[in-house]
Amino acid sequence: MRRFSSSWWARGLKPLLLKEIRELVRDPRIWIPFVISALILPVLGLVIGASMGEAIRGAQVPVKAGLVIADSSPLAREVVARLLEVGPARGVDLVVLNVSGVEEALHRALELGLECVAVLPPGFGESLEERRRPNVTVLYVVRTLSLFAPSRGARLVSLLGDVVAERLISGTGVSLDLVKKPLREVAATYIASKGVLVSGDAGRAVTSLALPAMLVPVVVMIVAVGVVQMAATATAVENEERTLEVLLTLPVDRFTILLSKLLGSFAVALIGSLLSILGFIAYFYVLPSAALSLGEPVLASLHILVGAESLAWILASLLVALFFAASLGIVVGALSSDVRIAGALSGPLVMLIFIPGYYIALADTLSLGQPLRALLYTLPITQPVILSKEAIAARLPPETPLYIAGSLLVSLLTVMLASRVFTLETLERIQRAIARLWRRRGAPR
Amino acid sequence: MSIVVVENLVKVFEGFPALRGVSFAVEEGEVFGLIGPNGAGKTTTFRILATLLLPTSGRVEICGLDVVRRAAEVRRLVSYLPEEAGTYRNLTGYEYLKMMAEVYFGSGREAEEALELGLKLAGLGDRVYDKMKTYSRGMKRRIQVARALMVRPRVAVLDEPTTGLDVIHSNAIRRVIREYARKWGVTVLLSSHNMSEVEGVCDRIAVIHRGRILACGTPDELREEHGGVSLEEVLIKLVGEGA
Repeated sequence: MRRFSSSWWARGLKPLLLKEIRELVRDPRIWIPFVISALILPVLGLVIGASMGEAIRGAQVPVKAGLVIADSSPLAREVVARLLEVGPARGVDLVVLNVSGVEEALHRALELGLECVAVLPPGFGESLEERRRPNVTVLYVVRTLSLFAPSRGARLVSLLGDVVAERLISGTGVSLDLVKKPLREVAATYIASKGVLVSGDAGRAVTSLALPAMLVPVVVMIVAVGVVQMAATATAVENEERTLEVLLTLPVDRFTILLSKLLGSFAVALIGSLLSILGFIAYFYVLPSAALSLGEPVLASLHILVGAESLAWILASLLVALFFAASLGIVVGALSSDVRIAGALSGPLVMLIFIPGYYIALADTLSLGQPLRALLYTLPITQPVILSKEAIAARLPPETPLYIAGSLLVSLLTVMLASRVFTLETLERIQRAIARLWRRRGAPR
Repeated sequence: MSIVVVENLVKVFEGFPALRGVSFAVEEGEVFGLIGPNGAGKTTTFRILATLLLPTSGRVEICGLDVVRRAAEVRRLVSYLPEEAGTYRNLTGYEYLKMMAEVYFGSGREAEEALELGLKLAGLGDRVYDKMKTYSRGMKRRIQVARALMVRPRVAVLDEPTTGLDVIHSNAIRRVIREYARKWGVTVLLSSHNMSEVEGVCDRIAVIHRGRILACGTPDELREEHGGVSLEEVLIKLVGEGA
């Protein structure tokens, strides 16, 4: 007490930071959200993959369909015979129904467990004879809500269309395949915003870019939310366990106390965030169907379309965002007299992070006005979202380093402002006001 | 020479006057007790001394330093034990004391000496290496008292150091405070509801009620002046008159 070390690090930040890290690392409550997200995502992938696989297998089972023939013309009979001949090979088990109307057809369809019924009306053969488009009425029966249910019924219509088309072009020497696919297309798409030429049509290229461009912001937001909640809990515990009072009487300035909490939460959050991100990666590897239709383009386009420099800036921005999220959490935690209130306050704050995040993920950010873009680029929470989206879909602006510096400045200002009000007197006053509001909300009416 | 000077101290919380002109002085090396019923203003006074609260008006100086204007310097001289000081659940008692020693002295020899003193004052044996969430209330309080005293402050402010403890733990803590103050010549301010504790440990006592000091003196002076056989009788008589 008589003499003090001159080192701010050795006598202030270091011991407090070690205390924070030890407290957080050893507290299972801190790890639960991160571990759950790391474990639940691959499980979610398994469940979705299994249900999609089930649906796909279900879609491959032959469709039970009915046929009502209200036209006795030779051409109609010819079409029916052809349908019955090729139906099984095309996965359509056809039953001819002897009914007089649509209502009776529906009853029979329900009795026989049919999934769709096609009615060939009078004049069907005549239209075909005159090479006009013949009328047909199709009745679909939906028994369960499944992703592939609509496509099963459509199989009968496709089969019927092909048989009719075959009949229409018979004698012309033109094959049905040529009519259905008259061009041998070799497509390439130039993505102007990135100056990159990729193989495939524009639809495929846009899907490849849009999926990761929307996915990465969602991952960033989820990670940020976890960090806010963790930092808020870590600080509210000081109030709940009555340790803050001693902390505030130590010969250490308030900025150092907050900084130690901030850096401790940040360090642990980085490890926790890695767990969450591993969970996301596992999700895409575990989801079997997504590995072909979603996972491959996502990973491939991230690898090819985002350069090393852009990736470095995104990572820097992400670190600043996590730092800011931790500082927000600490402010929330300091203002909460217990962990329960901190959790309740974090909820609305999380929405504030998600709203602009969703906006950026879904909006065409390149067409936004310059002031709004500059704001989204500078705010620590929105910055990695817009940077990652634009790095994938376009190019990072040349001012990116400046924006990241601005974001870091906003984070540090938040901590400095918080340290100004980080006195027992102010905190207790605010905590009392929050507790009064809390009681009023929770009170029975 | 007075090491602690409190003059006409007033503290108002949202319209409620918790202190209404408290004045007293404490000499260097003295063990000074502040006694009074619940809500008398003991904790508020101590929190102002520990720079946790700002006075509404009045003057408080420790070692000649104003607690408002020179709060950072005061924090280096004062060690404060709050009435309900908690402990970090996942730290061991050893880690906690080591952290506190480093906060005050860095990582040199002084820090090691402070830690050694803290371990001795806590007297928890090998349990000091267990996480504090496994400690009993008495063990937690011993760690906190050790934490407050091990840094050898100029002034130790101990708010109800034995509150909620059984006779054995209370006695152990009282002994630590008494011996420590004597050995190191540290000035101690403590509050308590336990009159025999105050009588056995304190050199001088101030009786506070409804934010005002009603009497101040040695236990003998107070008994003599207010005609009580015990300090408890003196307190009841003074508080009854002051009500």
